[in-house]
Amino acid sequence: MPFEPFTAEWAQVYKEKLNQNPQYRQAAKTWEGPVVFQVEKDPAIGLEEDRAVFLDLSQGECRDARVATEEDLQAAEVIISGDTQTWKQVFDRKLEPISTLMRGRLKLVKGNMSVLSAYVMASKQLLASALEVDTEIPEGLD
Amino acid sequence: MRVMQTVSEQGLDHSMLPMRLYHKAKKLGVWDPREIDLSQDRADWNRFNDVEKEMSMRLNSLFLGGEEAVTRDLLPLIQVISKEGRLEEEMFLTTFLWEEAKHVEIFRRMVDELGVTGDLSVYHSDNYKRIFYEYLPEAMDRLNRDPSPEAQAEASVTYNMIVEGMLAETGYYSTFMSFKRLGIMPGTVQAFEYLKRDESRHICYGVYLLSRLIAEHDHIWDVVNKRMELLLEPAIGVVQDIIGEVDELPFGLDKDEMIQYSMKQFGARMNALERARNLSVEKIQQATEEELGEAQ
Repeated sequence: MPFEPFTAEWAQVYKEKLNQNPQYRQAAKTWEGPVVFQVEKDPAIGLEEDRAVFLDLSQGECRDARVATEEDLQAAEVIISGDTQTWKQVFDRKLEPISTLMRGRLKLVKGNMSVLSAYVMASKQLLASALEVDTEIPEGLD
Repeated sequence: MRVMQTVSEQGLDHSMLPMRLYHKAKKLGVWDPREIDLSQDRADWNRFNDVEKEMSMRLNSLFLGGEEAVTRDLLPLIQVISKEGRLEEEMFLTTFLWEEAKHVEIFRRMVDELGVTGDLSVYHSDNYKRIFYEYLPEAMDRLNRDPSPEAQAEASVTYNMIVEGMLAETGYYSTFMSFKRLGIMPGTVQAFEYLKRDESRHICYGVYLLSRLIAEHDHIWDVVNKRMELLLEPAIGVVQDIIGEVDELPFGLDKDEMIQYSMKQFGARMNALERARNLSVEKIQQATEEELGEAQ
């Protein structure tokens, strides 16, 4: 059953996928700290507010994944944000995740790129697991 | 039977970007590595502490190995371009290979002049070896058997976008800025100024080649993206192997500045390549260097 991205249900499936990804577990074994993925609001498709998922990550394990609260956004060490079109292209596998981040199409709105770049393989697997979730992109995005 | 382009009415197209780069190379690429005065550099080197000497040699070993690799690996691309009858591009590529040879010479000369001996390949990390010992020679050698647009694109992404555009350019820029700010190693700073200028032309040609291939075959955009994604991990790993080696980098080398510079250049070139999807080959041939993401 497909889930709308960055919802509570989607986050739960994402957590399962991430914890089943051995490459992520290996690459992220020294990575500690919460990460948020955020999609920017897009009233044209009915997304009136930014939406974000909070991932509580610890040494290769995702301990929790949920819709991010205001406190979560404050607590997150890394926030990666993009507009709906960019995320759609990432989910459709038309954009490659790491180069999209490097190009600034997915923006690092919080965090330090030189720190994140130490975990490039973990970041790649983090996004790869997101693409494993059966995701239903909202209508209206071409 | 072959057709001679230059004795036909076609002549040479001096307006094509590769030809403009060729004319530029004749003026700017003629510096002589032997004429660079490294006497003050030797004095500065002797005053370096152990951490500074270690970092300096590590960087030199990476630059020297990289320049040898690109010198040894370029020929198959020149052969492919030549066989396709792209004379103007081939003329530029003759300057390209000659300049790479001079880059090998200057980096080896720095080692020799500083009196450093021994095997410098000990500084080549696993990430570095993946790129310079495996991905690069394999992608370039493939052109000997497979001159397809896909093979050319993978070769150019590896050579021009990752090795030159990401690793060499970022390394040269950062080292140049650090030494220049400190007022040390004046010969090396002078060499880096020349190197950066040469590399800028080489990378510009790479963006041109990839843009032309994308304009001719739209699916090459996906080939480029997939290859880039494959190589970004070891490429970023090479940078991490350098900046993660010590808590604080010597010479005022700035980790964030390196990453930001590398991302800015990468972004500008990828944007130029994406634009090529909607351009004609003729438009790309007439493009300016700025339109292909090159500032100079």
